[in-house]
Amino acid sequence: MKHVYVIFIVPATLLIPLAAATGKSVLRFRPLRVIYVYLLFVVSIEILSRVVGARGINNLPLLHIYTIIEFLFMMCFFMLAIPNQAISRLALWLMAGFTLCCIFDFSFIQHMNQFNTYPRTLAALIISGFCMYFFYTNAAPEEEKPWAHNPLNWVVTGLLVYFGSSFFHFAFQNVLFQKASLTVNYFFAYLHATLVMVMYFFFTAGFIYARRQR
Amino acid sequence: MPAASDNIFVLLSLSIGGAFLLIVSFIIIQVRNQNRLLRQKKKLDEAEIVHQKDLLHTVIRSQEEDRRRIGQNLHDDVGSDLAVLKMQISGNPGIAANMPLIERVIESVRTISHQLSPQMLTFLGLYEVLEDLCENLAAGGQIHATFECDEQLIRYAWPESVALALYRVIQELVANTLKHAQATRLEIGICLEGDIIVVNYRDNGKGLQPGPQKGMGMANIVSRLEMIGATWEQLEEPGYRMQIRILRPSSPITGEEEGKTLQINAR
Repeated sequence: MKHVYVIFIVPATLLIPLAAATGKSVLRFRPLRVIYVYLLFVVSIEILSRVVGARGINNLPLLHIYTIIEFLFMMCFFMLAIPNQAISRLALWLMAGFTLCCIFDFSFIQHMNQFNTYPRTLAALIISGFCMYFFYTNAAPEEEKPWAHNPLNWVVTGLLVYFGSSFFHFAFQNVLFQKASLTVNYFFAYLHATLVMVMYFFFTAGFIYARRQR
Repeated sequence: MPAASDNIFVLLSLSIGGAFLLIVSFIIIQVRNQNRLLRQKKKLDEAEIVHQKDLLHTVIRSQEEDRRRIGQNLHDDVGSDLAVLKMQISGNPGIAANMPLIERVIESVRTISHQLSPQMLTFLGLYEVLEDLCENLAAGGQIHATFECDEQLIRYAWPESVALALYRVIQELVANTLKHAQATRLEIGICLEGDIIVVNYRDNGKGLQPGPQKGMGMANIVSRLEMIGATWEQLEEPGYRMQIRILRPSSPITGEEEGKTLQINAR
């Protein structure tokens, strides 16, 4: 079967962080609970996109909806991970503003059957910014434990690696689709899938460290 | 201007690869920096603890010096003046009625001076001093105090600093028992277990409260034990709330051995 890696292996790795997160000891961390629900949401979108794709319908409109909901999850995560009122207020404003931008984008700028490169790139930029701010605030932690023992460090690293590295890919998806060959498009699809998998592995590490902190 | 022939595949690959490398470098720097800060903080904390311990040891040493001086002065000056006064009173029948009062004062001064500066430790050893302490407690009628010692340990040659530290520790424990424990029975014992000497202290009072102790008493005890290379732990035994076990090799002790490891367990 063609593209087993992208179609089966990478989506299957979603089950690894979900399995690692099972149990009260992990889900008592509220930011991790958000990530857990986000992963469940990703699973449901994966299934839905497969069903829609199997019926020969373009599933790109799902990506437009997915981008909005994913951004809302990320903002909720950072509101809990960075205990700062100003950050919470900013995240709330961004949640509302970004949702409106996405609606405006698919209504007037980029058709639902195209990649939503503008909002997706903007989301990657904002999320990377929040990741950087998280690390900035945690540069000199109050708690006396090594970097690796904080589960949030792993989760934020995963987010930064994925959204930071995929930034250019998000920006040029439509250009790639129109101007590059199918092979090149597949290459970047594989690269993107690998980054997604790396993010899931970082999530898994975060959940495992959270489980150890009983 | 010639038409651009840039390859989007190469450009995008470089951009993604570059961003990935930058992010990984950032994370590695962050991890290393945070772990280094943590190590520095630990080192500082350890240095602070060592400093605090040194400070406490110095305070205890100077406190001991002051006690010794005050005890000596009480014994030599006040004690001898009182003895002269007693002689004068005994020679004057008009005020001889005050004799019991003078004798009580002399006895009090003697007891206080011995408590402040237990010179008996030098002359009689730990066994005699502890026996004397228990006799005084029992005579007070407030508590039933007993002291037991294995025969072969009665003349055991404790180094003076170790004996003094142990005496102060037991004194502090007795004070705690009398003040807070509401105990009716108190036992001090020295015995031999294998090739180690065990000093036991136990009472049937309320025992130590769990968690960190508020007063300086416990800190002083721990510090004094540390000064003679000892450790302690609190254990529970039916009928008794507190028991200290002092373990030490039973070979003859010389002055040089004062720094040897001494383990103390408290039950």
